[in-house]
Amino acid sequence: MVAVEVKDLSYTYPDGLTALHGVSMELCQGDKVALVGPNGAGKSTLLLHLNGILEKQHGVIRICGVELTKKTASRVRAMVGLVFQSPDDQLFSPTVFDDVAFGPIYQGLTPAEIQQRVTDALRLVHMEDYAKRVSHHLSVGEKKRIAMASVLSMQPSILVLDEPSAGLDPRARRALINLLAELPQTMLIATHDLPLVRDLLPRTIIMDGGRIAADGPTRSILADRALLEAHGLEMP
Amino acid sequence: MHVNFLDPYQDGSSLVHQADARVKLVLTAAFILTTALTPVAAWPVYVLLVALAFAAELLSELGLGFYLKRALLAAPFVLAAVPLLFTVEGETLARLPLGLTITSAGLDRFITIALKSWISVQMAVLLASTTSFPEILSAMRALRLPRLLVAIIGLMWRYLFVLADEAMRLIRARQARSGIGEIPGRRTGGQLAWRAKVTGGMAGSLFLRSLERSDRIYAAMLSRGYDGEVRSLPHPGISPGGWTTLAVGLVILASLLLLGHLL
Amino acid sequence: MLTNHLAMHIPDGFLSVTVSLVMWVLSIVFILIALQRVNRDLREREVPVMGVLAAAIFAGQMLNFTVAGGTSGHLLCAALASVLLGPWAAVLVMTSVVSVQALVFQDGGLLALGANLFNMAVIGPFVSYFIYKLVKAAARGANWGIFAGGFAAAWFSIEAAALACALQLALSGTSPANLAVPAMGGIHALIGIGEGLITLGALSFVLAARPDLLKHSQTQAGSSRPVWVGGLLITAVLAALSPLASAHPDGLEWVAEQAGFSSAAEAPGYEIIPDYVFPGIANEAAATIVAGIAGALIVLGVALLAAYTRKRRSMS
Repeated sequence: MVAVEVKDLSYTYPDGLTALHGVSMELCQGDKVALVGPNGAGKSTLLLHLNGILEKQHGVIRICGVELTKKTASRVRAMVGLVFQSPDDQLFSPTVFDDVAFGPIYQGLTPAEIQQRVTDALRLVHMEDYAKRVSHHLSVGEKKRIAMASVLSMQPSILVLDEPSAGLDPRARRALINLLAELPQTMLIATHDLPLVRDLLPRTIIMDGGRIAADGPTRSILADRALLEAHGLEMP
Repeated sequence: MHVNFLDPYQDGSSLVHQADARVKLVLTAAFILTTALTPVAAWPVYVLLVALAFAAELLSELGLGFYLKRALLAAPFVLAAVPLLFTVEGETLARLPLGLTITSAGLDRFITIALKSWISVQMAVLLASTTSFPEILSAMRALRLPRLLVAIIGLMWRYLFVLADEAMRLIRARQARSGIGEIPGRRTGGQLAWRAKVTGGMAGSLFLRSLERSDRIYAAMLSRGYDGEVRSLPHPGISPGGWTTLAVGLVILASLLLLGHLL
Repeated sequence: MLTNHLAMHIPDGFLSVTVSLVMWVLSIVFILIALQRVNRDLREREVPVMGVLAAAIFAGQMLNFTVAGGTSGHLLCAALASVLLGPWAAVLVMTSVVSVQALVFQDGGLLALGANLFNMAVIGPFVSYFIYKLVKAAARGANWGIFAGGFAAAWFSIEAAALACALQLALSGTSPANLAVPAMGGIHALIGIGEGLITLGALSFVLAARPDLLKHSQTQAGSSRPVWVGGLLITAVLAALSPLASAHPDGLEWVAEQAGFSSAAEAPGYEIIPDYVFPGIANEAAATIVAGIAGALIVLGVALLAAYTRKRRSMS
């Protein structure tokens, strides 16, 4: 069952920069895929398309069979959980509970359902006791996990993450990798952290200059030194 | 993904671009003042003012269309002057239902205001598009604006785009969690008060992080010897060409003003 | 890019030269005082703190929330700045924001900048400070004082600025007083609720994360009697002038004459407001109230209609 289908996607920013040149890819249900490439390759632009935040200009996007248009964007957002790079930009409520409850509240769930969703989401990220805490005071690693919980509370079937391990110390990073390994969702992770890719994600897509340069099993891609160096990457 | 398109400065090398920012600032202010002082219905003068504005715009090599588009910004405010059509005493032009009559004097007043607004906005756009912000800041300093204020504005500009990016990311993060679930029949979007509160939280978060960032900026400034005194390089004098432009411009505007009051 | 603003940045062409210049003088006076006070109280920290806060306010005005259908609410932030930084620093911060909005983004005119500064950078901070202190004093240190105070400060600052804006337009002969004042007052009474709620949200975040910033008001620059009095005075004057202007535009003209505006009116091209009423409505306070209610109802009606149509479309 195809979870994410992107066909010939192109996008140019208002200031004239063309960030995507006819990008095509397919993710099946349960796939765990890495998106790697140098800065400016278009990774974030691609991710922002997957839940309709950036309106596509050219091409087709289908999420779980639903074609992504302006009208369906709202529905798709509940299916694709997008976790941004900086947790500070995602935690804007006074308490952890409020932040994690945002998605369910928006969806119009009852207070009992909201409570359940929050509890479940916090349990998934192993932070059940944090509900009453103030997000602002948490460590970077904790904030990243709360940010993930705030997306998991929508119960999406697909998780998209932008640089999840950036800025984490080795312990927090290891905790994050273990956490991601436990989650059942289809995953697309944009990252510079090649060791994480090697440990966690069986498939890798290399993006460069707004195009897909390679798409295949992680083991073979990470073993190809020439390929990696051609796209600004180093062998882990 | 930067909010770069916020900066209205359009790079170029036209005569207007190269003119001294101090001269441009003074002439823009003088132009707007002249327009404001021109009497109601002094149509020839308004035509000349528009011509002057167009001329300056053409000199800037950015195209008239560019300016005409931006000048529409103030357009909605014109609604505030609509009552003038009906209230000013004078010769009746048209009768409308509800006992309202449009007078010619009212029409004159209304069009005058619309013209003044349209012309003034164009000059302001000309200034902002042909003068980079650092130049504007430097001109303000040269024109003796208080140093503290100029320093605050300078730092504000530097961090404006950084924080605008952050605000954009906050909005996107909220959007990413604003999805409608598969459960049918639910009222989505939450209550108005809740949405306002969430937005407030976003603002509060932005402000708090800014305050904490300002601590780091302060530390960086201290590390480079900052002691509270705002110092800057001395300004070069205005070139003879600059003085000429200023003089010519002021003379033209003064003549238009005189013409307007003689009519 | 910065469209969709509150209807408070007056463009050039709408205010008479006299009103513009008087407002410029007033604004400059207050800004100079603010510079002196901030210099004295904050010293070196002032530039980084206020510069970045000004940028935050500027950026914060981009944050919106859906009111209904296609309309959205935004922030002015004068109240928030006043609560977090104290009134004088808030004056400087708002001055920076409003000036750059005018100069660079043409949000508000350049000649009219004096009036816009007075409304948003002087009245805004002063009135919000006064109201905030008042409510907090009534709460005697309880937390609800901060929330209610923040909400009230925001609402009153928006309302006061709107009324001042309407009076400036009326004194310039651009809009009839008995229409402008209730209309601006009515519409911004609604907008003020949005600003109040957002301010509330912001304060609850700040209270949760950094309560120290809200509890120690004595460390803010210029927390003082003069500002309290100033805020009270401004609120009182606006409260008195507005209904007066609405019901008795002649009265407003009388005030203008007494204040010396009529001598300035001898200059060619300037007209003082004549019997400046909207035809069909008798010169009464009732007309004022009706116009205000009508204005608010229209806004509400349009918003509800938009929401209803949106809902119909999204359900199909």
